[in-house]
Amino acid sequence: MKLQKLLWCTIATVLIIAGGALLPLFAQENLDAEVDKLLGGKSAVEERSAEKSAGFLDRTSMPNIFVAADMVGGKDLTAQRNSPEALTPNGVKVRSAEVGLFGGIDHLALGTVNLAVHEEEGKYFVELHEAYFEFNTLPWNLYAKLGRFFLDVGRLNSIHQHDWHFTTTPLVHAMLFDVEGVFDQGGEVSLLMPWQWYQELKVGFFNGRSWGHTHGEGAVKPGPLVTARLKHFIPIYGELGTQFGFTYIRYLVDEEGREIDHTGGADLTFKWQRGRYRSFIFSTEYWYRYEVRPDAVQDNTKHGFYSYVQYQFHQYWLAGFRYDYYAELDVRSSSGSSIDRQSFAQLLWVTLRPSEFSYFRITGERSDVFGTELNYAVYVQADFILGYHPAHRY
Amino acid sequence: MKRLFAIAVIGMCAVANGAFAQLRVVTTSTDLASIAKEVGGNRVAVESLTTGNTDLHYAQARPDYIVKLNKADLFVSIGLELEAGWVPLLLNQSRNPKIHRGAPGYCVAYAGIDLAEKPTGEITRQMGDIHPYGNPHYWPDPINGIVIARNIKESMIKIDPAGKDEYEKNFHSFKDAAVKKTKELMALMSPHKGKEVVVYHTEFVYVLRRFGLSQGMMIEELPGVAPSPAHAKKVIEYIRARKVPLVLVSPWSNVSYAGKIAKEGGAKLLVLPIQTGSVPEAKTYLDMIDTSVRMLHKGLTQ
Repeated sequence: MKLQKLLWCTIATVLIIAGGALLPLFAQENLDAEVDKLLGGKSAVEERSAEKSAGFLDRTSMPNIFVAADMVGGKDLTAQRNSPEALTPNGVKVRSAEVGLFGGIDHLALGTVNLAVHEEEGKYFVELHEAYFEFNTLPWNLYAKLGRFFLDVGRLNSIHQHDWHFTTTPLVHAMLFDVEGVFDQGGEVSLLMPWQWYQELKVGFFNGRSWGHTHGEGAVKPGPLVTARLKHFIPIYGELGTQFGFTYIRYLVDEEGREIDHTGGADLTFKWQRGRYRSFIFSTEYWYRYEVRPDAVQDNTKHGFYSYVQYQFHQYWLAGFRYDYYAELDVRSSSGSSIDRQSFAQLLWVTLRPSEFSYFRITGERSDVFGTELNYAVYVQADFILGYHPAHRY
Repeated sequence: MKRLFAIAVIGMCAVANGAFAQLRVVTTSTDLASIAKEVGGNRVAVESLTTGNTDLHYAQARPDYIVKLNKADLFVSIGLELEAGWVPLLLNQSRNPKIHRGAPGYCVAYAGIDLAEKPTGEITRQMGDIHPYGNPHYWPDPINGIVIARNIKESMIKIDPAGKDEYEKNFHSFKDAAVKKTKELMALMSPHKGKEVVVYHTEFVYVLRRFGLSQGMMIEELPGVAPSPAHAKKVIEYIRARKVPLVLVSPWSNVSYAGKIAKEGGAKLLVLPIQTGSVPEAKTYLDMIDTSVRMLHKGLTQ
């Protein structure tokens, strides 16, 4: 009886061991079958585009849509407000709301339309910010934009305000461009140079009837607004890279074309990023304008720059500092002597960014515009984006 | 002298022509690059836009990538919106319609893969950084690597039909090696079948599924959302209650935070290199698979 038990135990043990050894073999046979099955399915090429076949990403007939809202509150800590930003002091407002649509038009071009609702003196106005073709299938490394859009001059002008890393407009931009940048109607053509490194040359021709962000039609000029920009990128190490560019703008101010603004600029950006947890940016822009004024006592010269750094020290938190300088050179004072009118501003901010689609920011600003009294202000900003947002440029 | 100059010019053209005869393949990740090299062999020159330790969700749209894409004959991406934050802009700026979406030079690697975690029902961003078409971290499963290789091979044949025999031969070699490696690693991992691990982000689901492990709680509160203290406490209690042996995190996630959770819960932390080139041992795609799975085995054995 004992022997019988021992025999059964031995048989059972052998079966268990054999089963254990055979299980991986069964699994391996299943693996071969799984591979055959997977490879028997349609490939990316057979379906031409896997995304298209899946029927969800390549919705060429439907544009991508986004809505962005930008809310700002300001509080002046000094009696008189001198900031060129012209934010409503001591209050909160929805500065702008933007609706954007973009997608493929046909086999030749992409299309974008951005409508913005702006607050001005307590009233909201709807305006067409941008509506343009992007021809991304041109030969000879060319690329073209046609329509109405923010000029690709310098770094900041073509970035939508809700995507800026700071709340208020740098002094030099507010004075030489506009609080929200310069847009116009016309076209830009860019050439990607055929080198192994990145260099892009862009030229633009626009109506030039008005300058900045005006809502009027402006006056017909004898020549176009002309822009030219040369942009470079150099990778430095790992995720650190630098982009720098040079810009020229020629704008005819009066209807006869006698008064001309020549504006030149240089911009430099260093960026580093480690996933979603750490990032660093240093960016600066310098602008110089020579205003030809034949009927005035003299021509005008203006220049200025801003520089800022921002460091992301946590998945959600970023802190930054910006320094602004702007000057109008050789201005005649009331006594007839020549002076330089200078302005300065410093900003310090902390941003809470819970996701790519929203952020909350608090900013402290100290400004001295044209030598009047020092002004201190605090701003809070809250922005969100609904829907699909296009990828950010470098 | 003129004749010498002409010969030199012709010679240079011939050399240049020889160099350009290689198919120029650009991929978004090092894994896709490694597989493309295996399949393409000497007929291709392959370059990855990112390194082995780049978080592919958050790569930057660097202008030098535009130059690389401008010269590419074939562009291979993971897809499923993993690279949505940077690839569309680069493709648009590439001035290279050959690799635009839907063109023969545009290959999305996931076609034919059995995707995990496809959400059902309504999706909103309040659910976190959710991928609406399924989990895009599919490459750490070597069998999915075979499907990726098949997709790349067919794209290469489409663009370079003359190389069909070589691509087919290389693909079958890769497939055999991948199947052999998978079997070897499945046998290695068989004692751990059914064991549960905690993950920082849901990016290990395919490798866990392949080797019989199960994914327990996620340290992130929602995909892409950092844990609150209350959620972290829940994860720690979960690890303790279920005696979870390992906490997995990728090198580009919040390794220190995952380490604290693992320590509090009494589990081991394992930084799993699930991208080729992430660690020196992971030189090729199959090296990466081998390294990762052996690390898992070691972590679960100790």
